[in-house]
Amino acid sequence: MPTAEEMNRGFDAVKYWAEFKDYNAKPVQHGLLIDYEFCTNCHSCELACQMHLGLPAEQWGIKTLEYGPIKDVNGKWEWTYVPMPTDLCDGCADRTKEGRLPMCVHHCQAGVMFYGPIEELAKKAAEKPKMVLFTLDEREEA
Amino acid sequence: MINELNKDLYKTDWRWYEDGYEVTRTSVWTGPGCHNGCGVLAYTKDGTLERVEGDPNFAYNQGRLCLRCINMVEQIYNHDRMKWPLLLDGEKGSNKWKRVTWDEALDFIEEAFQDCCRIIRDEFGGIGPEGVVALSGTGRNAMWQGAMVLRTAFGSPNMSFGFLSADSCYQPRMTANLLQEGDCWILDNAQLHPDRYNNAEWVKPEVVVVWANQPLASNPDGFMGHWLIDLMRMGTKFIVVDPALTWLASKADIWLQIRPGTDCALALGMLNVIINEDLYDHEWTETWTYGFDSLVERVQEYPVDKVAEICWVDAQLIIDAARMYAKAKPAGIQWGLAIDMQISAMEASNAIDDMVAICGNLDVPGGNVLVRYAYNSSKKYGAGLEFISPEMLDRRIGTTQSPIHKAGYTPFIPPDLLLEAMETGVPYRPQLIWVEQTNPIANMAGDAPRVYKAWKNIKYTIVADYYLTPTAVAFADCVLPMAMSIERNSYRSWWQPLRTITASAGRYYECKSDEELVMAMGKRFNPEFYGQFETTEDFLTWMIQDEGNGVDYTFQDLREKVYDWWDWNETYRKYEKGLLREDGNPGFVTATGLFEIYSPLFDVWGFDPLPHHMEPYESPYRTPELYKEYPLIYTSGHRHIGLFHSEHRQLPHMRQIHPTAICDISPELAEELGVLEGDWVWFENPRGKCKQKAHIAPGLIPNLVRARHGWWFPEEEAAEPHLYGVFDCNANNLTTMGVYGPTHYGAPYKSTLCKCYKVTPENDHSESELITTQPLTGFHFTRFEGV
Ligand code: SF4
Ligand code: SF4
Ligand code: SF4
Repeated sequence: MPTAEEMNRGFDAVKYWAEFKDYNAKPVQHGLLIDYEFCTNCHSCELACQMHLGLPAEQWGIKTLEYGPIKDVNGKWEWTYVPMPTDLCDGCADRTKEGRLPMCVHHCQAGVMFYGPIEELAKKAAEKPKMVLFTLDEREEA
Repeated sequence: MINELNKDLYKTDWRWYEDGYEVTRTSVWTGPGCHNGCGVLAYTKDGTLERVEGDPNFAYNQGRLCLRCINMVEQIYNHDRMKWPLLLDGEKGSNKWKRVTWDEALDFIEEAFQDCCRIIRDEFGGIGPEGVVALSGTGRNAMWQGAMVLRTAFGSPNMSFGFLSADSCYQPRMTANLLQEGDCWILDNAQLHPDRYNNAEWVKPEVVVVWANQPLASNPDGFMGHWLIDLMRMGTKFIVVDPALTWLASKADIWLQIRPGTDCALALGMLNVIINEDLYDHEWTETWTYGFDSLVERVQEYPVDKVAEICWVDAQLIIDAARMYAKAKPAGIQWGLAIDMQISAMEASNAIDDMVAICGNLDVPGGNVLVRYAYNSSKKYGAGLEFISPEMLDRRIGTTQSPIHKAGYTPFIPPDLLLEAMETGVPYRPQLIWVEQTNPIANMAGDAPRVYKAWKNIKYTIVADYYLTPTAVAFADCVLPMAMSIERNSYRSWWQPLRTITASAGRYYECKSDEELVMAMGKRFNPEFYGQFETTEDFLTWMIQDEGNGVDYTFQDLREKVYDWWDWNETYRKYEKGLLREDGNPGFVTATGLFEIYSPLFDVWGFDPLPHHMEPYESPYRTPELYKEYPLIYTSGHRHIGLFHSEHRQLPHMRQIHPTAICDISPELAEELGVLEGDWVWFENPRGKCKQKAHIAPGLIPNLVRARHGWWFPEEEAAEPHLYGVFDCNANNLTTMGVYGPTHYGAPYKSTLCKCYKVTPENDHSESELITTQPLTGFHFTRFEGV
C-alpha cells in the first residue's frame, strides 16, 4: 500500500495554503470592525445602507445574521447578531473620500461599528473579545 | 483615525450650504411618530429632501438614528400621503371623497360646530361647545395642538386619549410620581448633560433595572433605548423584568420572567427583602420620607415565597435581584408601559417608586433624576385650560366619577367614560370628534369593535392626519392633510434640552403643520386671541415664552441656537437645594414636603394609601373557570423595532422588516397545536378574535402569547366592509374598555386570557368584514373598578 506521501505525490497542504495567492486579490486599505457582542439587530445599518446605495426593499448592502435565541448546553441564553456586508457594499467610497463615515457606521444605534485603516482596526480588535473585522472591497469596477 | 468626525463637514451652525445642498440642523419629532427628538441634518435641494443624516453634534443621539428617521425621504414623498383637504362625498365608510380648499374645509367645520352646539343645547340642555371632544394620540408633537384647537378655538373641555382605556400609557406612572414626590423621575443616562458621559458629576449606574419595557424598540417617554447599550458597554449590570425573552433579557445578569399584571407584588416582594435585610438607606429614608413604618408593616404581607407564587418567578431570583439593586450605589430603574397596562398600574408604580426612594437613588447621579420640561415650557395636553370657564369645566364628561380626575391631576377625561357617554347619551352624546393624529380603532382603543360601533353614533368627525386611516374612512366627514416634522416649524421642550424643530423641506402639496392648523382654527373661531399673532412663528414664540414661565427669547432665536440645555435639569439633589418647591424650602412638592410613601391623598380619596397586589381582571386565580376555557395569558402591544404603533404600513422599506402582524407563541404551544413558524393562528376570548402570523419564540412562558398591535393594511380595500382589514389582525378585538383599578388608572391590555388555534381554510375569514356589517344597535356595558 502506498504511503500518504506517495499518494499526494509530495503535496504539502499546510505549506500550500500558507503560500497560497489569490491572483484577483488587491491589498485592502479599509475595513469595518464590528463589536458584535452588542449588536441589537436594530436594522439601522441595513436601511442606512439601502438609502446610500439607492436600493429597493429586500436588496441589501449589509444584512444582520442571527444566532439564537438558544439556551446553550450550560443553560445560558445566547442571542447574537452580526451585520454582514454583501456584494452590493461599495465601502461608501464616495463618502469616505470626502471625510464622512460610511452610512452604516454613522447611524449604528448601538455604536458598535467602526471604520478606519485595517492596521488600526486590527489593533482595536485586539482590545476585547467578540469583534469581527470585514475588509472592504475597494476594487474599482471594470 | 477610527470613526473620526469631520468638523468641517459637520458644523454646529443651524444651516449651511455645500455641494448644491442646503443643510439644516433640526430635531425631528412627529411625523414620523416617536417619543424621542433626535437631531438630524436635512440635505435639501430646491426644497426637496434628498437625504437625512443623524447630527453627530447633538449629544442626545450623537449621530445615530433609528429606521424612521433614516427612512424620511420615502416617508414624506410617499404617494399615499394626504395632499389636500377632503370632504366626504358619499356614505361614511364608502371612502368617497371630494377635494376641497382649506377655506371650504373650515366652512364645513364651522357649520358642523354650530349644529353640534345646537344639538347639545336643544337635546341635552347643555351649553354647546362641550359637544366637541378632541382625541389625541400618544406623546408626540401632536399633544398640545389638539388641546389648543379644542380649548381655545371650540371652547370645549373634553380632551381625551384615543380610547386608550384607563389612560394606560405613562399616565399612571407619572401620576404616581406626582402624588408621591411632586415631580417625575427618569433613569439618569447622562442625557441631561450636553457633555453626557464626560460630565464631572455624572456617575455610571452600577445596576439598571429594565422594568416592563423594551426600550431598544420603544424609545419610551423621551428615553433613547440604545443609551442602555452605552451603559452595558461601560459595565453596568442589568436586571430585566419581562415575561418574554427580549434581547436585553438574554444579556441580563438577572432576568425576572414575571407573569403579566403582577408587577406590584414583585416590587413588594423585593421591598420585603430590602427592608427585612436592612439594605435600605436609613439616613435618606428618615430625612425625606413620610410613612415608612407603614410600608415596613405592609411588606410583611408579601414574603418572597408568596410573591414567587403570584409572579411565577423563582424566589431566589427575587431575593438576588432585590439585593443586587439595593446594594448597588447608584442603581437606576428604567420603567415602562407594561406597568401602566394592568389594573394595578398605580399601585405597582407607587411600590417601584418606593424602592427608588428608600434605596437612596432619587435625584442622585446615575439614579433616577427628577426632571421638568426644559425651561418650564410645559404646555402640552393641558394647553389652553385657562380658556375654559369653571362652569364649562364642570361639563367635562366622566370626571366626577374619578377622584384623581376630579382633583385635576390630569387634563384628560376618562376614555372609558367617554365611550359610555357615546353609547348611552348620558350625560350627553358628543356630536363632533376632533381627531388630532390618532388612529384609535387600528391602534390603542381597547375593545376596538365596541369603540367602532359607538363611534358610528357620532354625527361629525374631523380627522387631521398624514394618511387616510381606518379611523378616517370609518368615521370622518372631513380629513385634513398634515405636514411632517421635517416640513414643520415647532419646538420640543419635553425634558432636555429645549429643541428647535425647523422646517427644512418644502411643503408637500397643501399640507399644514399642526401649529398652522391651530392658527387657522384659532383665527376662524377665536380671532380676539389669535389676532395678536401675525405668523405661526409669532405664536410659537408665545408658546415657548409660556407667559413668563418659559424662555425670554423668540422662536427665531431658538432656531439659531438649535438646542438650549436647561441647567435646572442638570442639577442633582434638588430637594436638598430648595429647587423644587415654590417657597424655596428644601423638600418635595407634596403636602408634607416629604416623599410620601404613605399617601394621605389616597386616604382622603378612599384608596389604599399603600401599594397592594390585585389579581388581573381575568387570570388563572381570579377567574379559574374562564382559565379552563381560555388557558393562555394574552398580552399585546410589544413594540416593533423601528415602527411606531400603527404608522408606516405604507412604506416598502418598513414592510420589508415588519411585513405583517407577527405574534409570539412558545415552542411548547406550537408543538401542542401543530403550528409551524409562519403559520397563521387565531386568538380568541369572549370579546372577540383576531388572527396573526406565528413566530415561535424560545424563552416565552409556555402558556403566554404576545399579539402585535397597530396592524392595518393600506394595500387592501379601504371602503367598508373591509376597511383596510383593520379588525382582521387587531389585537384589541380581545381587550377591554371599562376595566381598571380603583384609582381609575390602568387597563389590562397586557394581562388577559385567550385560547389559540390554527387558521384553516374552513375557519378563515375577514373579521373586519364581520364587525363592520354588524347591526349598530345595543351596546355591551362592562365596568370593573378594581379591589
Ligand atoms: S460601507 Fe456603505 S455600502 Fe458598505 S455596508 Fe456600510 S453603508 Fe453599505
Ligand atoms: S445598526 Fe448597529 S446595532 Fe443596529 S443592527 Fe446594525 S450593527 Fe447592529
Ligand atoms: S428615535 Fe428614531 S424616529 Fe425618533 S427622533 Fe430618533 S431617529 Fe427619529
